[in-house]
Amino acid sequence: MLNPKFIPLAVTCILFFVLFGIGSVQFEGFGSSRVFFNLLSDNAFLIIAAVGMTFVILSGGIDLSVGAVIALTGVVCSVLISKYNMHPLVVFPIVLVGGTAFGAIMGAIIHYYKMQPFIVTLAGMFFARGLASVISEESIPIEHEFYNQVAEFGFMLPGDAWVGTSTLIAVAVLIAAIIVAHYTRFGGRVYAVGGDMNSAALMGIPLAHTTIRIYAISAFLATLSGIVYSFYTFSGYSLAAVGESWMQLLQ
Amino acid sequence: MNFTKNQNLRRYLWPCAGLLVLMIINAIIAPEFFNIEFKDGRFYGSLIDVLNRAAPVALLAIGMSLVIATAGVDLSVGSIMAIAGAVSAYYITKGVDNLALIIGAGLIAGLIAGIVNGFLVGYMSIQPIVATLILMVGGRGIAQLINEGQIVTFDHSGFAFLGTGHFLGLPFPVVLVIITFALVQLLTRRTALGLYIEAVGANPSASHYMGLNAKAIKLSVYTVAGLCAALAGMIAAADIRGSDANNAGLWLELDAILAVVIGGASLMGGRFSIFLAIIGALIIQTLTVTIILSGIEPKFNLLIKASAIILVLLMQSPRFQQQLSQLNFFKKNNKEINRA
Amino acid sequence: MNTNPVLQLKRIHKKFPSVHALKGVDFTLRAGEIHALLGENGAGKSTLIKVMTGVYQRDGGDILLDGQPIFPTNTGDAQALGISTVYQEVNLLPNLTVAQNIYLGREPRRFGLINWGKVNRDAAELLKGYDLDIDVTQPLSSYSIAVQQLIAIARGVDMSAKVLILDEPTASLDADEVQSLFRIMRDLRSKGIGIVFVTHFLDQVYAVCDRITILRSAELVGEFEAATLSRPELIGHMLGKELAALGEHKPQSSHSSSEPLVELKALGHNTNLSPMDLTVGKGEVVGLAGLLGSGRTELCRLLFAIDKRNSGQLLLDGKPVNFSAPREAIIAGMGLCPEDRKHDGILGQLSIRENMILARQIKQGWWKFISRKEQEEIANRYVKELNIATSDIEKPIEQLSGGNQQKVILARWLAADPRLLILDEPTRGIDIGAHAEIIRLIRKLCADGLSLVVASSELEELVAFSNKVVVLRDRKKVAELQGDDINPQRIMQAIASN
Repeated sequence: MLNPKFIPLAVTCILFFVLFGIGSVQFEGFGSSRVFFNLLSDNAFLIIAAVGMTFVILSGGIDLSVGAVIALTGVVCSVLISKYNMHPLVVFPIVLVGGTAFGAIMGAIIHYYKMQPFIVTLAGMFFARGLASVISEESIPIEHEFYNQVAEFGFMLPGDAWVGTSTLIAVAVLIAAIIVAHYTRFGGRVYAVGGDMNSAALMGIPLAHTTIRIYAISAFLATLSGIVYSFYTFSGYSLAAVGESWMQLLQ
Repeated sequence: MNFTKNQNLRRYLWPCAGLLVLMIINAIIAPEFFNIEFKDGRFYGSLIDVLNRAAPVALLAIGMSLVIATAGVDLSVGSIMAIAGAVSAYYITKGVDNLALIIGAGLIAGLIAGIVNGFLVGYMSIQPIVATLILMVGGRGIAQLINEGQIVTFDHSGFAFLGTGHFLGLPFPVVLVIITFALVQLLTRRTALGLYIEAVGANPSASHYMGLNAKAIKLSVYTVAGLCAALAGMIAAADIRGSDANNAGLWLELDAILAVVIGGASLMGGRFSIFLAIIGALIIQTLTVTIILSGIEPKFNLLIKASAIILVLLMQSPRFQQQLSQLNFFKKNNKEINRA
Repeated sequence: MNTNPVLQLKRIHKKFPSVHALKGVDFTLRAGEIHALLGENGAGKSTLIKVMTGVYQRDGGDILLDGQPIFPTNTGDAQALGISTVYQEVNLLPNLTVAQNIYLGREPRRFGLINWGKVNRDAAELLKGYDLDIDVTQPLSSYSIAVQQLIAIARGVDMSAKVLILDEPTASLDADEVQSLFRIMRDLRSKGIGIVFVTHFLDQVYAVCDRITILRSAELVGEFEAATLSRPELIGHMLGKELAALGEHKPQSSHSSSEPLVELKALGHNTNLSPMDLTVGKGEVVGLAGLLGSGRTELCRLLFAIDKRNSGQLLLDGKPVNFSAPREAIIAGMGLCPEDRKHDGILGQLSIRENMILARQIKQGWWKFISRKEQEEIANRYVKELNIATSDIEKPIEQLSGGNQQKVILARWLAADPRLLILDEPTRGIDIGAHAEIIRLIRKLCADGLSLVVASSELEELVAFSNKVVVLRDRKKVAELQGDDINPQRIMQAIASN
């Protein structure tokens, strides 16, 4: 749609392909679809969380609580599944609703009390990590038939590449995000708020709605990311994803 | 006593009262809390421990106070601690024996880091969060490079004194905090620098109209923050007789910001008080001790800290204060109601 | 042109904590007319607009749209009702495309997703009606302000077609662009839209407006037909020609001492100010007269090195000087009390004492700290001398009234021992009593040997203390008055004359 807007994205893509290319040349077997898709599935949770973070950053804010929410999600899921024997498909909706509410509350505080997103999400981060520590300090393994099914779900692509659940979810989230950002009115509002909040308000954008929704989405995706991360680690650990939020910021 | 003097007193009253209340709670739970022994020329006791453990955050808070007063923030102080520790360790392991040189090298590392931050914020007008984030993320990498990826340990009795020595009965880190506090107080209150910093934070436009050089002022506050962080980093390294680039000062920048905010400073800039920031650091440390003493398991630490931050922040928000005074939380934001 | 009112404001009152901004103001806009809203700063113009558009809620009075009472509570409401506003700073989103800006919040959708093809096509169609054939997929920021304004107008009109409010739309436009804008306005008028045109360019008012409403001091002065209101009459209404005495206002004698302190030779800045000459003698008071936007503030800023000059020279004591920053002007003995006290003058959180000594401290240098004791002495001295109503110099300055704040700012510069003081609208937003005090002060300072440059839209006051009055219009110096010529009528003539 717009050339200047895509430059950072283009740079990142080019960088990725250059690195991949160099790797392929240097290391035998690197330049295969298997390695590519492994990369994708190992980092699926990161991609999902980064998408959520992108919405926030587009709106001119920041969400430091993402890493903590990932950890909290993992811990809650593992406790509910392993200690209380609840089925994952029952646990996941609960956790997603909770996470979204958490984000919405942060968004509301940011808007109604006119506080800086940095500080509010920082407090949110402490809070989420604190809650995770309280619930459980050690890593809790998840042993459930469903998780095994999830790990086996998927299909092979030519080149010995495995496309599993995590990858599929990540790709789905990515596509959905692109659609929402560029093809819905909400997406337009996000960009508007990020461009100039005052002008956006004068143009009739409902600031409260939009802000709350943005942080709710970020928390929702962070929660989803936490679920996907638990698929990867088969556990929940309160110290997981420390420092991830900073990494995503850079992305 | 007139009204404004009352206001000013109250500014100091709340944090100090808060600290006192926490200490009393500690003493109630553990009556030995206020005991101080004097043995072999040193003071011992829980209070001394609190002071000692709070020293690094207190040092960071001194620098952070100035930065926040200009409506900025410095996220990189934890990483600068790591860099300074790494630099000192490097020189010690390379055989340098002169204490002054070792400490000097660490301080210079902090100075350079601070200047970089100050330049990015002051002269390139980059937002403080973004500018200091760069060093925050990259600084540990730099520290790793200096230590060649290892956790370096060393043995230098002179340097170790920084972390474990005593002077006039007090642990040396505490002495360092006192000295730094005195120096920075002198710098900001015996010269016009403190007033300039507050002016730039209070109204950047009016400050410009009056001829203040906001760029230079911002450069200097980030530089001071860098120096304070370097000092804190060297204390940390001396304490463990090693340099751990990954963990030195981890998350301490957030504690420092919290300390300054608890001390009553506004993140939007303006008035600052280094004394109150140090009280803030003490409150954080005392709160940790309270949690330990009360038998609440340490895993609740973070949660309680988070709730404390949220509470303090809400209290600072004008809208919340208004709602509190009317005990009404659901009135519409726009108080003006149409009259036909 | 029909005479049906499309928008009527009756007896509108608006109060803020410190000021009564609108006192029973009426305003009537007809369908298919261009109606100018005029008034100096502080007259209530922008408050009235904000009441019309729902940014502020009125405290009293009625708003009727097509005869029906309306209660807009935000700009979205106003827009939905049919009232669009285009602001001076455009207030669109520079990072989005032209088409996105036009349709933000109401993009046409297909199956729930935005149909960009239609958005872009519709946008292009819409803009053709404004003689704009541009690529609507480019970001807004890639187009000039003139084009951006037209896009803003197109959006506003497309969203609702009853009332269009243009708030200082021509401030950043050149002559050709202004003509383009007028063509569009006349076109919209013929379609039955009522246009409120807020501006301070009188030539433009006469070029395109049908009727004129003038506000002064939060009150309605009157509603006039443009065809029958003469220019001098108009200026008289705006500036308050009633010469009811505010006290003794005998004109000053021409300044006798001829030693020039400051000389401007062909000093100018390409877009802000045409090159002009000006001489300020030692102990002389030079008044700057002219309407809002005439260049008075720009001149003050150039003198004080807030803005850089593009041409000409500034001479101090006969020697050319080149200030690269306000600090150098301060050290050379100059001081400036800016027009916008709140934004550029006071350090709200800081105390009266600190606000007062700051300029002097800056002049001395940061390491030569003025001791607390000396600070208190200085502050107390000026509180007494200038009659500042406060018992406590530690109070944050933002708690003082406007008049007292202004006195503190004056004291700030006086404490720095200036040789030349530049005052930009020193009596704006100050109650009548304080006006008189400040005028007395200015005269006393002049008698003490201080040189002053005072920009003011209060003609009676300029007359009361100026040795010389320089008249500006449209960023040019048009007259220099001395002696008997210094009277309000002569000044107004100079401002008005073509």
